[in-house]
Amino acid sequence: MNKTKIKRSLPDRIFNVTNLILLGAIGLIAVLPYVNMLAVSLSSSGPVDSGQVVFLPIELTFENYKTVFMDKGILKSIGISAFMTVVGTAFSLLLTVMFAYPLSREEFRLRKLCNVMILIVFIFNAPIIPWYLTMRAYGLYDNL
Amino acid sequence: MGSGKTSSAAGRKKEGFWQSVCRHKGLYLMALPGFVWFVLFKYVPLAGSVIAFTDYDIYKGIGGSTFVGLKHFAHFFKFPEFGQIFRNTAILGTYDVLIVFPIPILLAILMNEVRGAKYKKAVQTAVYVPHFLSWVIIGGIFTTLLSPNTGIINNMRQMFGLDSVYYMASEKHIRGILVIASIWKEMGWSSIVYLAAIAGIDPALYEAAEIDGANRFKRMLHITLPTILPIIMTMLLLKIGNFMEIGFEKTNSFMNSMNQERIDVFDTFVYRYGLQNLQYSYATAVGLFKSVVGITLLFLSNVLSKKTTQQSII
Repeated sequence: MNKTKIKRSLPDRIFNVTNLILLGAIGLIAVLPYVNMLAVSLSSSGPVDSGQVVFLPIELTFENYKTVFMDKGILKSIGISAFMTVVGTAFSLLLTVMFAYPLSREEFRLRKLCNVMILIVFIFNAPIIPWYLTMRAYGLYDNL
Repeated sequence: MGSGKTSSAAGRKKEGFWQSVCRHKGLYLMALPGFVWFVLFKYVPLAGSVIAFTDYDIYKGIGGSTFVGLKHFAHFFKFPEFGQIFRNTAILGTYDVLIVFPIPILLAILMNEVRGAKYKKAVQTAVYVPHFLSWVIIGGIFTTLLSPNTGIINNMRQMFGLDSVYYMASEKHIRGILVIASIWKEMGWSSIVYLAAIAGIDPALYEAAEIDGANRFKRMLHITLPTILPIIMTMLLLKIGNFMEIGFEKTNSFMNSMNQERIDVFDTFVYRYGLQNLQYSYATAVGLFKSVVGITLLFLSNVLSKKTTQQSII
């Protein structure tokens, strides 16, 4: 090795190791419940009910997934979610971009008014009940 | 109206409003859909909040309902559950600001001290994962993990010869569980902002400090922290602005009849009374009260922050 290694002091190295261990533990805590859920979803109900399944599936089975993907309701939910994400994102992007451009132009005389209008509802949102009643009045409730 | 001079900048200033609109039709056409959206989806519901001051009748509409002034507010303040809901919201909000809020900052600072890029990436990816779960699923995970018979935590307690505890039904534990769940879910995701801010710090500052003999801890304290303080303050103000916003989905996923007294907050209350019991006016009044308290807190903390750290968001 050509490079001379910078010598690190002992407390520095202790800190490094502790830090790595701590962060590793945090990372594991974030992921392990997922692994547990995955193992439970792939096990048959017997071992799950008796609490034997931890991180590895016992009596491996895909029955649960089969049930999920045969369920018409869930397929419909996935469809609705996909539709909302794709159409919703496209639409909101279009609206935002189209509104943002005039707001950046000096020639747009309503700039101030529009900025204030946006800021107000940024801070003061309508309570959920009037919001719900309005959406229902528009016919946007339960119609997809 | 206008002078008709449009060639010079000065002439444009004097140009009448309608003339200007005509000349820049495109801009106004572009803004129109967004403007209409704001009116329809933000201002109409906001105007609909007047039902808090009436006895709203769903068949008569807003115009046909009788005006009752502050009746619903008064009713709410006299309501025996009011103190409990207010206390729950305040306590959970305080936990959010004092405990849940600083942890991502700490995490970002610690992650910044890791030298191995691969290890850092791996930890980062791992801690982002829970953010993508919805609260309902997290409620399920916690119920499973804390289950008195089959949950891992109680299995471990039994191994050490302790009695198993039904955590989800325990009034003593439920707030702590909510706090831990919030930390677990959002810790990694919230740290992104701070990591980005730390990445923008000039390395020369650290080198200079190192030459001056500052150790690891001192560099964190005197360089990293002060440099990201503006971002911390902004995030803190936003958090305080959302102080009353404990979140319906979150609380409802953990609530059951055994622990309701400890974690019933404004959001769950409004949902119960408004959408389940159909007391529209009453629930709106409660919602409005919540918003007003939230805004007051936001402005107060904004003023305080301006005085102490010269940072403000409004």
